[in-house]
Amino acid sequence: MDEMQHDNEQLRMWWQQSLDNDTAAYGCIHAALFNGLYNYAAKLLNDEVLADDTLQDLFIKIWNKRSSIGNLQKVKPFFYTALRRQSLNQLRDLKLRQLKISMVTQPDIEFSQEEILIKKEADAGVKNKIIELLNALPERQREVIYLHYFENMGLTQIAEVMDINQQSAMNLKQRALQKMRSANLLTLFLSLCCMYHTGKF
Amino acid sequence: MSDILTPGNGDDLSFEFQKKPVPVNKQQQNWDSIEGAIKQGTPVYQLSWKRNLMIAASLLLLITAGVWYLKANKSIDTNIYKTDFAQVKNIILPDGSKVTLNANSELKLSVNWDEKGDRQVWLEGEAYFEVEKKSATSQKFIVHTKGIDVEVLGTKFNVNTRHERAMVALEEGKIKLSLNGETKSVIKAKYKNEVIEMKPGELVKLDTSSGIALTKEQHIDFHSGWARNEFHFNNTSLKDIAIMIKDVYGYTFETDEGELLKRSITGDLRAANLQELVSVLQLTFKLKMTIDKKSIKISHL
Repeated sequence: MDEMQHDNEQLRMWWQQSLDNDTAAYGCIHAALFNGLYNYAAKLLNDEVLADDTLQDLFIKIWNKRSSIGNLQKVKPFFYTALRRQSLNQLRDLKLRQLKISMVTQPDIEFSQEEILIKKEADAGVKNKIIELLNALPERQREVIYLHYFENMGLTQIAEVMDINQQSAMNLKQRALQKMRSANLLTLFLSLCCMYHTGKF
Repeated sequence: MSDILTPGNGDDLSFEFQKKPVPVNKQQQNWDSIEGAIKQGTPVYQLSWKRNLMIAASLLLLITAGVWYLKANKSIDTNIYKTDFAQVKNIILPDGSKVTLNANSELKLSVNWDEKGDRQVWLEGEAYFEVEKKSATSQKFIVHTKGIDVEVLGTKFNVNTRHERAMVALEEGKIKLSLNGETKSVIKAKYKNEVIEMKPGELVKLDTSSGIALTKEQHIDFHSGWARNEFHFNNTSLKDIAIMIKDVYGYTFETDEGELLKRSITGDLRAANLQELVSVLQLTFKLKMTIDKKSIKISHL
């Protein structure tokens, strides 16, 4: 928590300097937030090249609008919120271009094998099952989980970025966690099966 | 271990999440492009007051003249955008709207473009607009052209004003068209005094000789294809392609056999420059095309 506070102070200072036309300070914000934003954008858009472009557009846009944005209390959530909005617009445009006119209101985040680590020794089958389980969560629950575990965001920040109220964010997280805990049983069950087959029983 | 994420207290999960690594240099490359763009848009030269105060009084006059000169220069730079033949410019307007200005075109911004008033631009040539919505203040965005004024509330569209005509292709959003002074006296159409409201997918053609026509198009984004280096031809004659090439690249087609210009093609192609375009056209038309100074000579293979 201390680390987060410190981060925000630093980011706020850089943003302040950016308001005074300091491009180097703006570059520091970019360097500090890039990896997280890039991964989030790649998840939202499901396309790394597009994520790269979207981030360029976003940083240029925010730079050009900085004077009307003014002081920022919470820099990181601001960039995440802006990125999410930009990505949704981007998705909407893509859909339009493919002549599939539909409103995109919720991004579709997918988890992959290399993103989870199992505590106890287990075979690849367990990992597969966990990924399946995660990706079977409703879209909004997946996004809450992503922001919480990958971006270390608390409920307030998550609610802000996803443009929902805190209570809904909490409910989404609780419901997701309930289902994720069933993975515990699964892991146990599968490792028992595994032991049974290898003759350890 | 630092990028392995420990779930919060009480989450009690049998697995942990770990972040995907971001490729090295990705951040630097991304920033380089951003830095290039923002430094272009802001004056490179900045005056520091502290430094100025230290300069002797005798130099003061010279400095103020310098400041005035810089300011005057800046206002010219930011208010008129021009493109040469074969040059496409991406412009970000002060409100965040994006304009892609096609070759051989000019875009002027109103001098008192501010936070409150309507956002007005004047266009000669062709441009693709992606306008930022200002729903809170309902500030209008208006594109003035020789024959037509386009009023926008936040949308994507292509405007082409070459050859005594105007063509507006709407991809997204809603826009209103009205004829302006110049064309009002010439056009005798049913739309003469009306404001035309366009819906996405519609194309309005205004021609000072034949009047004004509104049609619905299946592939409206073909009109802005040039902004993405795409060319869409639908039974398009070589003559029409020659006109487009003259507008965009400044090259004139020359041939001894006028019949050749009547040939037409259908299809989509991508080309980043004139050389690429001509080499693809050669193949599709099965003709020989030679680029020479400011002309392209066409003959049989």
